Amino acid sequence: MAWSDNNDLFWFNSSYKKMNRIIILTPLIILLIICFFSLTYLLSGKDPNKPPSALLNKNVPSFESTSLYDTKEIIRTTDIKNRKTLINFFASWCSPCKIEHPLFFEIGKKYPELYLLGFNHKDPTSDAKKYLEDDGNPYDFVGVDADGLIALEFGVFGLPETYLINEEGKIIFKFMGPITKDVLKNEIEPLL
Amino acid sequence: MSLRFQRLLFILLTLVIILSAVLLILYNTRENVSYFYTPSEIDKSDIIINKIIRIGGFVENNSFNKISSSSFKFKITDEKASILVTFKGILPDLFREGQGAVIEGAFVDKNIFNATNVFAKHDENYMPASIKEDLKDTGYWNKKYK
Amino acid sequence: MSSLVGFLSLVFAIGINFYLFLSRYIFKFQKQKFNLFIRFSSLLTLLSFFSLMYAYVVSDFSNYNVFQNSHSNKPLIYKISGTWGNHEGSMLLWLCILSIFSFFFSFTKNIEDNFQKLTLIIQAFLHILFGLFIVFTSNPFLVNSILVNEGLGLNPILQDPGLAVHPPILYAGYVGYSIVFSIAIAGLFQNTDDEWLYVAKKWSLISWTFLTGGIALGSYWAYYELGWGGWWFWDPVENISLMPWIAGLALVHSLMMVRGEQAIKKWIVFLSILCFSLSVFGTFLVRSGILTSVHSFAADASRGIFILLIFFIVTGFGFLVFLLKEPKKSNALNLLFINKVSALVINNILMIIATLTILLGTIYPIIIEVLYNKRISVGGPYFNSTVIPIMIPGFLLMSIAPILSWQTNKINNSKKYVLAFIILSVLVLIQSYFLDFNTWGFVGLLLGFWIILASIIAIFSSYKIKINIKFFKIINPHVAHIGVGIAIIGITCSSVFQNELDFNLNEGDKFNVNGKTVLFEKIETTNEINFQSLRGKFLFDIEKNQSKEIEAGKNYYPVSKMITSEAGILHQWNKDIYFILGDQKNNEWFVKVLINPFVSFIWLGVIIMIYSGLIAVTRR
Repeated sequence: MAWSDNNDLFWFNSSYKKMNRIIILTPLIILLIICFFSLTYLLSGKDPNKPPSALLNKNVPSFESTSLYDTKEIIRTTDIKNRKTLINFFASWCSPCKIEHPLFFEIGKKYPELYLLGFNHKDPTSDAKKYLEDDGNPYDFVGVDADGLIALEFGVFGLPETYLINEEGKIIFKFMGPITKDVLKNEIEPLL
Repeated sequence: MSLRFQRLLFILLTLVIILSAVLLILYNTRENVSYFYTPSEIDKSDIIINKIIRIGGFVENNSFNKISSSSFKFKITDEKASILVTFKGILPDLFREGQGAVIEGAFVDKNIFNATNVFAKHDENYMPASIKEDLKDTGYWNKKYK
Repeated sequence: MSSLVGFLSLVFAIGINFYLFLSRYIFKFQKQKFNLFIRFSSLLTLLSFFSLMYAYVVSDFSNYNVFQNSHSNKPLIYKISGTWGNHEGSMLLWLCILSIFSFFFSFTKNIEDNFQKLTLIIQAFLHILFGLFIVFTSNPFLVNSILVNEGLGLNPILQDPGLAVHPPILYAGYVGYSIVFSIAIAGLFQNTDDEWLYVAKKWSLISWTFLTGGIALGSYWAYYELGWGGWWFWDPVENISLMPWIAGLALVHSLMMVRGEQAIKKWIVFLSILCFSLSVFGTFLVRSGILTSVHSFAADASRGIFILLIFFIVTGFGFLVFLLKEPKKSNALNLLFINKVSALVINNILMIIATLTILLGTIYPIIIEVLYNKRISVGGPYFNSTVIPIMIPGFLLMSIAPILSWQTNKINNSKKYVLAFIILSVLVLIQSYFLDFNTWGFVGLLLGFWIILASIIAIFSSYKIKINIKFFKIINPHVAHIGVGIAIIGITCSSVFQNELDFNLNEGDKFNVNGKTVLFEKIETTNEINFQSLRGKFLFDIEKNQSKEIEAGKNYYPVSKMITSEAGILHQWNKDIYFILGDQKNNEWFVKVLINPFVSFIWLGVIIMIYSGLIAVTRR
């Protein structure tokens, strides 16, 4: 059934065509708007999970550990207060640890005020000493965690794991697995 | 009715529907949207009583008070400022001190915020520190790695 | 090893799709060979997916994804469902379902060979996009560089049967629209005969039915697991599934018009493009971390940008082709006031407005934050006040639609209907007078009952009752609407007429719920395998001989330090009694009891809709 034959048929047809164009273009315009806003939001790095200024910090768990090299030397949680500390859990039998090992020398050189604390996890002392002799010792202190209780307190799931503690004794960074240059540059260094 | 009239009616009906929908949406985008603030963003002089807003931060340590099994008082803070909150009802399971939370409600006076909804955040960035005896008991840590 | 197999088969499958896509311009493929390649790539993708599943089942923690999301103590079912319970695995599931749809489409008869090939080439294009996304940003086959002997994934909330099954069914819905999209685009490039409309109808119905099932499962899970007595929260993830569902409903109805020989091809093509665009957009919103919700995946900006790019390419390409190659003019519509055609057109308009409203509400926070740097949230009140009023005229139309005719604006037996409507309104009014009167309640009940009544009258007055398959196929649209009516009644009653009772109880106390006495027996804590349970035990209706036992409480999971609420639900045909155990002070426990009338009707209505969808697929 067609439209009634009238003059308004012509008027309707041409404005119909114009409306048609507009209607068809609309989804593309909406698409562009959505993509623009989404892209802006993503690139601005806002995190909707965190209300704009809250940062959740946890206190570093309390620990007590003997030095790998001197059983009389003990390190406790209180000893790392008032200085930024990088804690690294490692072992001589852990291959990925060997991969990240050289980076700690770099960190130590670049940030001399940063205290590097290594926890030797479930490792015979002779093996650990040999490993650090062969590959070098980048740590300011190597603590023994023979039974793994310290790692348990930290919530370590596997080796290697690295934590950054700030001067107030709060954990501000944690990383599972070997540190890479990228992680160092993008995640750790900004916090130092 | 003539064909022309029917078509006209149809177009008119369509326009009415679209117009009312647009008005409805415009009205609701103003009235039914709640603003989100952090505790330090709330200017004490600007507080509007009984206006529904959301506040996000985390539950201040040592501020939680259980008045009864369904009535609670606590403070929401972002380390710069804190807001005193009252809530009646059932708190979400993940709610605890030191944990992130978002509350929705309104100020009943300049100092007290009455929450009608509390949402707690699951902190996925930090694994719980003390996974003590349980893990030890199940022997996860006893195996030799090599 | 399985990771290697999985990764290689994934890459190889993408490679084949590349080859096929280029074949459009370089080689000329014969249909047989082409289909063979498509099916082979589908099988490879399936192999990739099952390799991941295998890694989960054997707890192969050398796979980083398995390490992050699984645990050897998980029951087998949850190891299997853990495959898709994380971002990377679920994207692989998405890709897998995409290729399964291509696989089955390659067997479609009744359409031109070239058209079929073109559709599958567009599918191949989509496969490449999502495949590359997986390989570059969401690879589930990464090697775990940490030496571990146990996994991290013991999140108790994910260990649930409803949640295990919900993603595959939901994705079948989302991804199913890819085929409809490809069909529509192919239809734009190649002006083929109208047979493609019937093919499009079948695949739209399949996708829509799956989507309905997926959404229903999610809602049902939220109802019994989240412990708040609600089943819809206008959460962004829920809205994301609702948009393609409503648009898909509009599409399915528009395709129905084909039978009445009133096909608006342009509109059908538009809707086909829209549905899949909404699916992809939804994926973007959830996985980019741009919105928070109860279950969004962890955020990663590079992923977000990649998906945004895919969304832009797919949607932009779709609508661009639509703009440049408009479908050839179809016959002018037979618009009368009022016949089936105009009712369906108005219905389409209402559904599009509803979809856009939900879209606006969902992305509004993003827009405001970018423009004004203010964080806002758009929640239940906004959507309830906009979407529901928009849908009400639609429901009204739904009630009279079965009796409208295609050709004329006359209504058969109109007197019968008017009489029935008047009697019904009076009945509902009387009922409302005796219980609480509530405007929304009255409207909802009237609409629901009226839709059911009108459909029943239509069935009995238009068709001879015969118990055979043909009869059931013919009355199918009416059955579907009856399902909607039942669901409307359920939704209205359980929300508007919900009753909330609060109690402060000590063990041994008796209290009154709906005229029945309930005994708060005791609090019991037990130790299960991986959690500790705290339960309040209640005896419902102790005056009767067989009183019912209900337990409500919490589960505490020591390993993941999580607490979940476990509500106790007493299901009756006409209401659910929902017990929530709150906190205690001095051994006085806070107990909340929700009485939700006619919740069962919601699930019943949805099941009828799914049944109807399945029947409709088998019709022409």
